[in-house]
Amino acid sequence: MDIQEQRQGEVIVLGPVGRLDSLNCREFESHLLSALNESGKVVVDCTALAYISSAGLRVLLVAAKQARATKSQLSLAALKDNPREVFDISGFSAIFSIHPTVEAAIASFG
Amino acid sequence: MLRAGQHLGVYRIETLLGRGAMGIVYRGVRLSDNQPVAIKTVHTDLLMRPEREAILSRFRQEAAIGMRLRHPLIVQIYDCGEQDGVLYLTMQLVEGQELGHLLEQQPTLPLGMNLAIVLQMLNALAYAHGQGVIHRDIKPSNILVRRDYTIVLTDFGIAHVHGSELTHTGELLGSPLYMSPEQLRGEAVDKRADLFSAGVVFYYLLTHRKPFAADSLATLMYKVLQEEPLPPSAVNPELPAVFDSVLQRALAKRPAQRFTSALEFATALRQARIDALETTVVVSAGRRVEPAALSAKAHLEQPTIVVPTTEILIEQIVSLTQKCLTERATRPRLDQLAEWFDMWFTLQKRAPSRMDSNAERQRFQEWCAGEVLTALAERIHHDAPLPGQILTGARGDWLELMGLFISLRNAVHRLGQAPALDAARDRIIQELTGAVFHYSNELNRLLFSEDNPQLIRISADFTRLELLQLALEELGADAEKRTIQQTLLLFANQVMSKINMLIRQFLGNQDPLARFEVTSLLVEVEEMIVLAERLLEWGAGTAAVEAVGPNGTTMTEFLESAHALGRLLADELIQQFQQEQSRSMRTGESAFSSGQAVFLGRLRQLGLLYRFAARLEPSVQVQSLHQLTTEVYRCLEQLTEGLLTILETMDPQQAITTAEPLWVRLSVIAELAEQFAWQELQQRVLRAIRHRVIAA
Repeated sequence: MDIQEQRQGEVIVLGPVGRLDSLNCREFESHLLSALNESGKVVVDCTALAYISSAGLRVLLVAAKQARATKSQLSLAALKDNPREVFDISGFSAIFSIHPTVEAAIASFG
Repeated sequence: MLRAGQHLGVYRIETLLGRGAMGIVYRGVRLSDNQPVAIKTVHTDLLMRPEREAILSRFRQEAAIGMRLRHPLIVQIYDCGEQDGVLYLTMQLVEGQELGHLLEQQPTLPLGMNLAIVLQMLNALAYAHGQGVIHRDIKPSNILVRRDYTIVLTDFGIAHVHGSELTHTGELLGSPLYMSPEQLRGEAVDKRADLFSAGVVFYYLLTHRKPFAADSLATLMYKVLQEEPLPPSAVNPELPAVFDSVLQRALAKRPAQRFTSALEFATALRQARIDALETTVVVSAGRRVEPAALSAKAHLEQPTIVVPTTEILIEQIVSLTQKCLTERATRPRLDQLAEWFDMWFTLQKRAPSRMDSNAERQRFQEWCAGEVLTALAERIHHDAPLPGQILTGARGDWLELMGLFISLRNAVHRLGQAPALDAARDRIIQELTGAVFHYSNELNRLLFSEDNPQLIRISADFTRLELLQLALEELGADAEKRTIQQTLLLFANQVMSKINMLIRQFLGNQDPLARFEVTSLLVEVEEMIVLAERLLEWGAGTAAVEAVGPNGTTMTEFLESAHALGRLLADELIQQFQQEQSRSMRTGESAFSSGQAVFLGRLRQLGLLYRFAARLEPSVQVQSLHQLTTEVYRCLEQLTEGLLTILETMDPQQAITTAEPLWVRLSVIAELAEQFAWQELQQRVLRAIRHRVIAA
């Protein structure tokens, strides 16, 4: 899967493109965990994320657990309607800070 | 899978080391002298006929070449043999990890370390080339790195021996991401192909980007054949430009323009290292050097007070707690609060009898147990992701709010008693555990009110239940968390049993209704797999429920019938393809676009099912796994055949410009074949794609 990666100051912004499901979620998981290890401040930019499956959600959950254990910060930005709905249904909206834009997500890190 | 203690030739199996696409690797010992070894095995019964010869010859090749090479940086092969349908290869046990894994964990190795890795790789290649052996598959996963960063080069499975007849031109072996242009074109290769791949690995190490990367295989091939990669210093501005020219030469399209030997490459690299020492930059991609004090304090919200007083500290604590309540609780804010609490208590120890201090303490206790607790409890209740609860306006800081609550409770405890906060903690725990137990009724409804279990809904609920578990962890309710874990395991087992029952009905009674039910279940194959993975994860390390776990009856039954699901999916794919084909012939227009999403979805589901089952591979399901493998392989082969036939009958220009959906399908098949190590099938598709790229 195509994962766009860029740095804005000390923050790493990861942008998964297309679908995040069982077939490609391991690749995204290793990118995300590496980014958390490396910078401690990560934004997942969901602008180009068209679909997220249960397996994709589990990757985010693993990352959230790691962020909690290592005191890193993980935020999401620009969630489209479809993934947003999946987030609400599965309760993720309660534990992830979701921002309208990448800039807002970065600003929230303080 | 072999058991610990089992003998294989003159070796004894000890533990599982890992699973590759082709087989399983164990740690073992040689019986005669207890020498530890790595034992690579391939279960020959599981090999598909068209792939069988390629895999076996790759295995034999690795043994033959490995036994011939003796070098400290190349893995030593001791022996190979076959027993009870298991082909095995024993080799030096290297305590280390693949460079690929290392890079995932530590993407930013220091520059000196990167150079040391590449220089060792070139040293090993210089020796192999001297012995007339071209590796042809240099990539991070074939380089093992020990803890002291010495490396060992492995997997000579597709190596070429000078003068041998084992390989033929036209072949497309190796990983396209690291392959030289001549290898990609299927031309004869020499040692300079390895030097190109070594250049790709070096580029990746320096920049953390692959020089040639693309969405599709066709674009990737085009880039390797035609495009110059960006200079590494343009990708990673912190990198000295001296490495640009080294890599430009290593990655030259024409072999004649590359380094002539590994030694020449290494010499150029050493010179570049000397030149680089004149600059001060010594880190590779992404590494930032921050003054220690700055990075430790960078996240603080407000400047640290150098000489605080208790009044100022309490004021700060109150203000930050209010911010957490009204804006958002974040980890840095919680860390800051914890730090201020510690400072406050330290100050108190120094002046324990101050009257104003007692008054301050009391005010703070009352404030926490009063307005803070009310606001906090309300927010926690409002945002709780209980199954079935609609979340509106959740702030995303539910777990942090739990953290805030516990932090305040602990602080109040340090000041004295905290009955109101203790009672509140009990209530929250009760609410969370109660929600899990009550879910049992809802689960029964979802499982049995309709013909099919509503897997998507159940999966979402299970995610919510996992979040409740995290909250219990945050609250320090360990005993309750363990109880919940057992309950969740039983829930997952219940769902899997229902799935098994539906499949059993379908298998025992091939009526159209049973088929329809199982087919609609297959739309949710991903949910089934996620469920099975949950079952394994939650069941790991527990003896409470015998039915679950990798060898439990529920999982066994699911795996035993997985081939039937595979066959159904395969039938649907073939059927769709045939219908599209006949519609195209009838109308004279391509009918492959409209069903593309469905087709790729089914293909993906089939791949998911196979990959999941193949990854587990418990010994009791060999027969079933073999059946599933047969179904999946047959389907992919038939589709490849069909797709290529259509493309071959098209006018070449038309095949390039208007047949995109067909090429996308082929690319997905090639990706799956690569994941499953089905080399023959992958090569077939890659050759066709290459033909197209070159023609274009």
